[in-house]
Amino acid sequence: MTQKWLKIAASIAVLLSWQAQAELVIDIVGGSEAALPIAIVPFGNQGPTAPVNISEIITNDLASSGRFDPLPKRDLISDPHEKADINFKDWRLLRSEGLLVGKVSTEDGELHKVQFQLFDVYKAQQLAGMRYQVPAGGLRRLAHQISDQVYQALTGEIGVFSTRLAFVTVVKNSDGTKRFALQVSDADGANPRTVLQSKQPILSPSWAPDGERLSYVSFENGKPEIFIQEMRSGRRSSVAAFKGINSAPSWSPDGSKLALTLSKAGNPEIYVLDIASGKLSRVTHNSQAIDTEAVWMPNGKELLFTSDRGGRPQIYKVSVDGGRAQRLTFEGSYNSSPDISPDGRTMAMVHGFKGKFYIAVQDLQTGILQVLTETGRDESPSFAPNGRTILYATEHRGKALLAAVSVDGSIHRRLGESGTDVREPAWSPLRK
Amino acid sequence: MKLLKLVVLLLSLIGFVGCTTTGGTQAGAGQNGDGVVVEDRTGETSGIDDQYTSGTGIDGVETQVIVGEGEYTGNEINDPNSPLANRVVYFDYDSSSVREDDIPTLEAHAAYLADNPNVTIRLIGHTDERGSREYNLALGERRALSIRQILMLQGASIQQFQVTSFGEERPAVEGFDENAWQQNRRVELIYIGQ
Amino acid sequence: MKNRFFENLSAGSFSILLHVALFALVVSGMDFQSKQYIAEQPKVDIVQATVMDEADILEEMTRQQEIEDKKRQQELDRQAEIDNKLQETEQELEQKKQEMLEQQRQAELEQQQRELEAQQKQQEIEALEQQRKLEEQKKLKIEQERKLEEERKIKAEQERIAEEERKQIIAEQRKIEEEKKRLAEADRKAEEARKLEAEKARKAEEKRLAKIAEEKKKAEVKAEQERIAKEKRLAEEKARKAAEQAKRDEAARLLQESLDAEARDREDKRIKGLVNKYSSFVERRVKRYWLKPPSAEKGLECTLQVSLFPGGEVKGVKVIKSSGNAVFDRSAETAVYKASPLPVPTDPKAAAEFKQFTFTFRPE
Repeated sequence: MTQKWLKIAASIAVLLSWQAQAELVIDIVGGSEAALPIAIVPFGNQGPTAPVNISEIITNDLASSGRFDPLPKRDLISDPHEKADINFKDWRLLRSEGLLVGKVSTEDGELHKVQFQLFDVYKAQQLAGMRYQVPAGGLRRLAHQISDQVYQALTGEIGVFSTRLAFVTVVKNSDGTKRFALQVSDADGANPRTVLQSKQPILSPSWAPDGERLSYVSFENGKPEIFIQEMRSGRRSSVAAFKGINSAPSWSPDGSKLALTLSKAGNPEIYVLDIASGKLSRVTHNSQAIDTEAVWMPNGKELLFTSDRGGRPQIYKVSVDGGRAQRLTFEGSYNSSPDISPDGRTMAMVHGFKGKFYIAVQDLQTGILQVLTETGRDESPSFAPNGRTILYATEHRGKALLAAVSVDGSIHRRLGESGTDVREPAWSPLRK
Repeated sequence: MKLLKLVVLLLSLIGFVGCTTTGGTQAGAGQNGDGVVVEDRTGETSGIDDQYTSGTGIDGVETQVIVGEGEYTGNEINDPNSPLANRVVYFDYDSSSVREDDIPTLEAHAAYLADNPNVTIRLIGHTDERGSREYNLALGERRALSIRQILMLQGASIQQFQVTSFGEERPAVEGFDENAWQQNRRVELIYIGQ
Repeated sequence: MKNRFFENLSAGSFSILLHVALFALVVSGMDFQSKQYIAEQPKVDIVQATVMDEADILEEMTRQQEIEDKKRQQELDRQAEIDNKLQETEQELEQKKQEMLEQQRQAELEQQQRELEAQQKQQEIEALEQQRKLEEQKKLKIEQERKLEEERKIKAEQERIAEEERKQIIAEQRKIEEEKKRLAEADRKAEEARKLEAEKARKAEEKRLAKIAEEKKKAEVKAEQERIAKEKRLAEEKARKAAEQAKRDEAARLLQESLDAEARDREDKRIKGLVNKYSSFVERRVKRYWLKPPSAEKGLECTLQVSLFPGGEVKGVKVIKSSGNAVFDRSAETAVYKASPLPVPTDPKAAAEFKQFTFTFRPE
């Protein structure tokens, strides 16, 4: 009898063990960080050729970000302009993850109708698509906006291709004198327009958060003074022309105040100016030290600034209401020119080491410092409004020019080598 | 040796004896018989320089006419040989302390300012191009202020000063080596209206 | 040197005296000279003219002549004085010279004496030196002999030690050999012991088997006895046999089933092995095609359910657990699609595992 039970028990056991096998699970850990392959098909043209090659601008924008790897034109297997034209299988063969197509039509010569569609090649789904109507003068800006949308759809981050850069150029005249200009350009360096021209130096441009005004330092009256200028109208006013130096203006996040450096009390100190009322309040009170280069934290309550109160320039943090300053930088003998990322977590700075100056970032929570650049002649770091890239001034083959580096140090590029000396860059806020 | 000395002695004695019989002229003011004093000027020197010509005027009174290099008529501030002609003071890297060798220059300027309280001077501070532009703007001012302090200690008064800084924006020499840098770390002294 | 110094001193002081004397002379002579100078200078005298006799004039002239003669005589006298004084000084000079020469001679004599003395002393010193050197040499010789003796002793010691070491080495070698012999012996003994053991075991086995055989025989005998004893129970005995048969069949069947189960286990393992192997192929391939977004933070995790066609082609991908980041999720899905067709095993049992399974994607 027991042998029968044994038999039954054995068979049940076998059955149970068979069923205990759950569904197979495979873990994928790691992955590569190479640039995303994307196919950008030149937009179809209806009517006379549009004055601006939109897909070309988009291709350059995305490639320059270092995050995308646009397919070379010769590898594009077909020429679709809308969904119906697309055979996704073909594009999968090319291993391209994204596909951008579009159309431009010019009917009456003045207005241009533009549409684009962005597809996920493997899922055969549309990720983004829009239709626009713009005059010829707005086509370039529209191309940058499309770049922003493509960038955001594929990376999840905000694109900054429609933003602007402000910077100072210097040209030597034939008689040896110099001509200074404050200029504003597109984020790719194209289309520079002069906002101020002077025979005397211009320094430290700073954007208002609404992107409509610039503040800067001008030596037109023989000494450094601070001005505010409206971009559209060109109207400008002097906001600080006190005895001594007036310099390093920085706009508060709400646009109502300027932090600035004044030495009217005998040595350079940080002040906050309420622009509307003109009221000045003093932040630092160290009569032995140079305190300058104040920038606002995104919460609008604290300032980062450069001070040599410890002997050589280092970066400190202080409440806008004044009080004790907390030192932030402890590596290297020279740290200056702070700028803060939009999320308030990363600080960019000029880091001096053995007589050379590099751009570095420091995580404000951990205090860990990472040097990003290599030439040793770098200055004036300025964060992009998506916190991903830092714009700065450097030198290449004897010429001063601008360069950009990603915040993790992996992607580097130089902005144009026009032949004029360019310095003092400032990245505009996002367009509202 | 002894013999030689003797010979010299004897010869000199003879010489003296000979002198007694012949007589001779002597320099020095002596008296004429009637008491008129005659001055003999050959061999005498007067005045500060060797380069001068003397002319005789009336009754033996001379007028001194000064010509040649080294001496200057006019305002001492424009005299190219005076320490006041030195209008730039240089500095070491990252320093706003005045060098020892420049103290005499500054003393001369301070003295001139103290003597001429209506004169205004402009001090412009500069730095070399290394480091942050804004920090260098402040550092240039610090250098100019340290010059002002020295001049005021030596007698100049604060109303005579205009102090400003151009930081690294106005280099005297363009370049990226110590030769250029050391010529750019400076304070310029500019007299207003001269 | 000292003599010369004194010479110079006396000469110097002498010359000083002389010069002083001369100077005095000159000074006194000067007065005389100035008078003479003035006398020779043309005078602009305001002369009061008066008429005088010739006789008076002659008188005057002779008077004047006398005065002049007197003067001349005075002068000559003075010159004679000077000459005398010169002579005197010359004589003094001579005297001094002589004195000095005398001093020199004396000094020289003294020098010679001293030199002689010095020479004598030198000779004495040299003699002493020689003596000392001889003594030192003797000492050195003695030292050297002592050293040689010591060295001989040391060498003797060393040789003694070397000898002892040689003896030790020989002794040790002997010991090693003896050890080896002992070990070989031990091995032999162990072998013998093992052989004995094996023998014993065999014998024990044989005994056991013999016992079993005996017992079996006993049982059979008993059974036969029982059969003979009880003829009436033939039927029962047949039944018992049949029952036993049945039991044996059962046992055989169970054995077979357990063997089957083992076979199935082996098969399972084989399949598992295949599945694991292909899982890692699939993982590697999908990972290779996965472009993760750089903004992917640590801690993100997304789970996909994937279904495949029999050849490995991706049939469908479904997000069953999102990472919270749409771009991250999509990058995972895209990776799976790009990797299609996935490598799947040909064995149908293993392939069944790959019909539908799960991916979890993590950046770190």
